[in-house]
Amino acid sequence: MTRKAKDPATLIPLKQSIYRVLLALPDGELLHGYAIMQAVSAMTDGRETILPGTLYAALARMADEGLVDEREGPDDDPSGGPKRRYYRRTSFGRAVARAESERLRALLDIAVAQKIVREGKG
Amino acid sequence: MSLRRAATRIYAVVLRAFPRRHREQYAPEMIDTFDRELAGQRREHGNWRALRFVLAAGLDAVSAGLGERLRHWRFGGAQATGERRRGGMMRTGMSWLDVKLGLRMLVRYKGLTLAGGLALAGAIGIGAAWYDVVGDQLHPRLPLPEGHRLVEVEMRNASSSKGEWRVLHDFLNWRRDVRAIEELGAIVGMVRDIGMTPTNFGEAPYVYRAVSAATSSPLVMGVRTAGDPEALAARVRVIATGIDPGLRLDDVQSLDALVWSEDAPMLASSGAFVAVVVLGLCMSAAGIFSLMSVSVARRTREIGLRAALGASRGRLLAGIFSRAIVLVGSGIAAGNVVLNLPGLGLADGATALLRTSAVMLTVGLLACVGPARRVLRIDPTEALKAT
Repeated sequence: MTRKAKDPATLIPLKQSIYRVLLALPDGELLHGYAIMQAVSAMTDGRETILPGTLYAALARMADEGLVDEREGPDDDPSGGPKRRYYRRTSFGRAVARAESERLRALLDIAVAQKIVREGKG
Repeated sequence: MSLRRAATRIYAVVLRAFPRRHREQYAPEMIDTFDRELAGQRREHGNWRALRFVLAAGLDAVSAGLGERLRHWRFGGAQATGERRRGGMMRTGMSWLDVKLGLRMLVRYKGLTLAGGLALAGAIGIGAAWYDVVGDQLHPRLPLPEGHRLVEVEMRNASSSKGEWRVLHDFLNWRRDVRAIEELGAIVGMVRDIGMTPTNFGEAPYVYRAVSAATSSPLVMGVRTAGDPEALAARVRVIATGIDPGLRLDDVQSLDALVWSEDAPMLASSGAFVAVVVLGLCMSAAGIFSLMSVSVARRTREIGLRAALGASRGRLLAGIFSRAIVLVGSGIAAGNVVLNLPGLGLADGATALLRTSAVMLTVGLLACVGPARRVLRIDPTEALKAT
């Protein structure tokens, strides 16, 4: 059973690992841990990775906070290996990801204003 | 056994850094994820990158596992996190009920409470006295405006020319008789000390003041020698008499001997004080440990029932430590009251009492670690079966 916090702001700022996992989970799609790990790497062209220890610690916390729904996979998992858990981003998880993104965008705006970076460039 | 399988087995061992509950839920998946990623790294990037992945994943598992352990220890895992968020008394993990039960425990085990309380009070008294003695010796301060300008205050018996111990009474007399430092006498000058006594460590300057003809004040003279100072002692006496027949040199000795004669009693008394303080601390810790162990042993069934009803580890620990805090707090309060009784004058200064009380609180809480670990090991099923 998960408990959902009312206000996304209570979880901000997010740990980087949790933010990455939230971004890697597409809306409505169920992914298992290894697939999330690959998705994190793929969405950043390999620049960002997440290792299994951090990933599963983050997933446990996210399930506890109500950021993801955790579901048992089938016994005969098509991906092979042991029985897996599958995760789906909740609407609350999406709201928290949005709040964190806005926080980061506000910081980026400051960096742009100080000409540390150019808008739209790295 | 292939290297990949060996690495996977090692990774499975490293996962022990995680709490058991986490391992039971996630370890098979984590090992499988590690194994697949290792195979992928080796296939796409070669052995070197695979080795780097193994090392990084191992360190990551240790770090994340310890983080999870800390989270479970602090909040009792997922369930207690929810309890904590629901607020109220759960927020602190302690409640007035704990304090009430702690007080009831003190009444119930009168003998142990008395022994523990007395040991704590004694330890606080010894500790406070220790701070007073060390403070007086290392940082003597005259209780006057600009008293810090005097770096050395020494009591001398005018007839015997021997030094005397300063006591609180002297400071009170000085406070009454002397209104300003200048009233102590005209300061002739200041020179660097030659380091005779352990109280100024050879670096503090000495203050000299004019000596009237009527005052029998001892003078100290230092002579630097190139050879053996013992051989020169007799000759120094002769030289002094040659300068002034009335000049009599007593107690001529080498600086090493002088420093040792000053240091030795101080070291011996310090050692004795430390031994007594440590003994007091051990007695207090043993008293608290016994009381909490007895309490845990008698409450095994109750603790098991609480755990079975879903009380988190943090909540169970709060029950133990809050009772210990009640006990230690009572002992500290009793010790402070006794030390501040009018006329007793054992403790001079709030800072010393505060520090000693903090040390006692720390020792008291450390003494509870053993009983607290026993609480965490209680199996609800076994505890409920026990009669």
